[in-house]
This record gives sequence, C-alpha cells and structure tokens, in this order.
Amino acid sequence: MSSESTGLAESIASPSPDRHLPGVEGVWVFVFADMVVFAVMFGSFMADRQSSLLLYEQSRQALNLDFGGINTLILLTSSLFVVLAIDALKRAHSTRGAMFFALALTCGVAFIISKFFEYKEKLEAGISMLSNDFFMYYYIMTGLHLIHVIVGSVVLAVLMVKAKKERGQADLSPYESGATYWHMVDLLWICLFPLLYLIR
Amino acid sequence: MDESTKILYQKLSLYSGPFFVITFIIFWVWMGDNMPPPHPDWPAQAFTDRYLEHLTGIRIGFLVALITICFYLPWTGYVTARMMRIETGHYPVLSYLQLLGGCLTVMVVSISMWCWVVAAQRPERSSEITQLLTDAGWLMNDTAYMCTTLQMFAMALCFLADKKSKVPVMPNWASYLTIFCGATFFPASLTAVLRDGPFAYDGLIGFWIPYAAWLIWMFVATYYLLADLKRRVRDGEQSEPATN
Repeated sequence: MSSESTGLAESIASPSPDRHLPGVEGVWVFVFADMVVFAVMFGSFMADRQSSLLLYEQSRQALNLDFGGINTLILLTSSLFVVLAIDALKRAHSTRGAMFFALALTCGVAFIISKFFEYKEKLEAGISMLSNDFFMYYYIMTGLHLIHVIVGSVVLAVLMVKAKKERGQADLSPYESGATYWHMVDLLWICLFPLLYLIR
Repeated sequence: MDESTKILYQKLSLYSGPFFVITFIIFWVWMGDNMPPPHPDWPAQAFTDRYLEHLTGIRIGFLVALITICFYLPWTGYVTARMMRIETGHYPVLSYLQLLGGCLTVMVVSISMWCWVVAAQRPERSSEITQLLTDAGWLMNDTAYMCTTLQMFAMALCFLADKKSKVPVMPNWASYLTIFCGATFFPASLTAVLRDGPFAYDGLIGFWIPYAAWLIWMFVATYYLLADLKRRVRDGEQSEPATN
C-alpha cells in the first residue's frame, strides 16, 4: 500500500510521457458545458424546493425507490464495463474490448427499458409533468438524462462495432472520448438519484 | 473579380456575423425590451401594458432587428463556401445542410419578430390578441430551433472531419462547443407546455442558456473563421484553381 502511494506520488510529480488527457479535448469541453447546464437545473430544483418543502417531500415519497436503485446499479455496472473495455483495448484485446462494450450497451438498453416502465407507472397513477413542480423537475431532469443515455447507447454501439474491426493496437482516442461521455452520463445520474429519490 | 475584391467580400461576409450579434443585442434584446422577456404567466392585460409602456422602443427595436437579422445570411454563405473546400466533390451535403439551416434560421427568427411587430402595430387591440401574438413570437423561436441546430451540427461535423486544411479551421474544442450550443436548444421545446419556472420562455433553461449559447457560438466561430481566412490569404490558397 505504502509503495503504491509512493508510486502514485512519483507519477504525479513527474508525469510519464504516456500520461495524457483521455479522448479528444473537445469531449471535455462538451462534458463540462453539459454538466454546467445540469448544475443550473439542480440549483434551480434545490432553490424551488426550499419554498415548498412539504410538497416536494410528499411527491418524493410517490417515487419508486426500487426503480431508482436499480437504475443506479445498472449505470454503475455499465461504467465498470466501459473501463474494462478501454483496458482490454489498451492491451490490444479488441474482441474482449468489443464484448465489454456490448455488456455496457446492454446496461444502457436495460436503463432505457426500466425508465419506460417507471414513467408508465407514474402516468398510469395520473402523475404527469404538470402535476406539480416536483414532478416537472422529475420528468424533465430524468427525461433529459434519458436522452443522454440514448445518445450514449448509440455511441457505445458504434464503439462496439469499431472495436470488433480493430487489428492490433488501436488508436484509443475515440474510445476514450466515448467512455468519458458515458461516465458523465453515469455521474449525472449519481447526482440525480439522491436529489430526486433520497433527499428528505 | 480580382483576388483582393474577392477577399474583401469574404471578410465582409464574415464580419457580418458579429455585426448581426451586436445589432441583435442592441435592437432585439435592449430596445425590444426582451431583457428579461415578458413572463408567460402574466394576465393578458400585462402584455398590452408592456407594449404601451415601451411602444417606441419595441417598434424601432424589432423593425431594425428584422433588417439586421439578414446579416446572418452572408456569414452563412461564407461558412458554406469554406466548408465546401473541405467537403470537396459533387456531394457537399454537410455544406448544403449548413446553408439551408442558416437561411431558415433567419426566417424563424424573422417570423418571431414579425409577430411582435404586428402586436405593436395596434397595441390598443384586445389584450388577449396581444398576448397571443407575443406567445406566438416566442414559441416560433423556442420550438422551431432545429434548423439552427442542424446548421451548427453540420458545421462542427465538417470541421472535425477536415483532412484538407494544414491547420484546422476551428480547434477541436470549438467544434464540440458548437455541438453543445446546438444541443442546448432542445429543452426550449418545453416552453410550449410550461409557463412558469426555469423551462418557461423567460426561464434559465428556456431563454438565458440557449440564447446565450447561440450568440457565444457565433462569436467563437467567427473568431476562428477570421483567423483561418488570414491564414488562407497569407498562404495564398486563393491562387489555387477551385477544384471540385
């Protein structure tokens, strides 16, 4: 453990030549800007929540924690698969990389399906975006996040097909760019889940 | 046309982009009393009062902005020509998409302002009608943004795939910023349903972020397009025969 931490300190002090920004720089600009927009929504949600705590708490209790919890597990698992895929490609194991992208994509699709059932349950209970302010935020923030998941799933599918065709050491940049985006989608959910489902 | 005249017109076309942005801020935002925008949940009479209180400003503001919005066209024209140098061949589909998107953006924003000009023409009319025209103008902009989004996406995709320019027209981050700015318009569709809060047409997500993103993108893109034009003039690309 101590030798590990020394090694880490050394690598920070004198970065090795292969330390680099994962993916293209533009993806990081995109991720930062996108997260600012979500931060604005989170801030706006918290500010509005202060003025009607009781309504937000009552509405929160109508959410199905099982769906929220399963969604969280699905996305965390998918991020792990993406990490494993990048690691496999770094070692020039392109078939294994493609397989991990396929597993991550399966998680993405599972998330989309689970959200469909969650929305269906809410709508059948007569709860819509117009029911109250809490559900306006609930539908819009999870909806915008869902659009990110759909875009991310398409990206994962493209990377899976691309990885399959790789022979030898692949240029990691497009894979790392896609992975960075997917981790952001995961991170946004990690913020959304407690904000909507857990905060009392 | 000799080379220096051509370059002059190219420069004028590019500068017409920031010229549009500046006049838009002066006439659309400031004189047109759109900062902040009217609140969609106001009673109808409040819309009439707003026109009556700022009648001269609103009339001049939108009438001038209806003229200067067309400076978006030469800018779009230059970008199209520049994209075609990258997307060579007989099927420059991204360049055409960008061209069409830019042209239609002018129409969308024009129709929006035209609704407000109509409202200001007879402010003494029934306040429900004034409210309707104001709403219609905002929803024109806020729900028919996809032309602009496609224009921006096409431009970014073309510049990202550039294999011809020695120095990329825009750095990688600016192309991604273009995609992001185009994507910030999507939540504006919610302005058609929600009349209060951040997603309404006077809200943070419905107004401030997407409108700011559009104008910031124009400045960033123009900055790099001008630098690219300078490089082209210096390196003498102009003397090359146009190859298609």
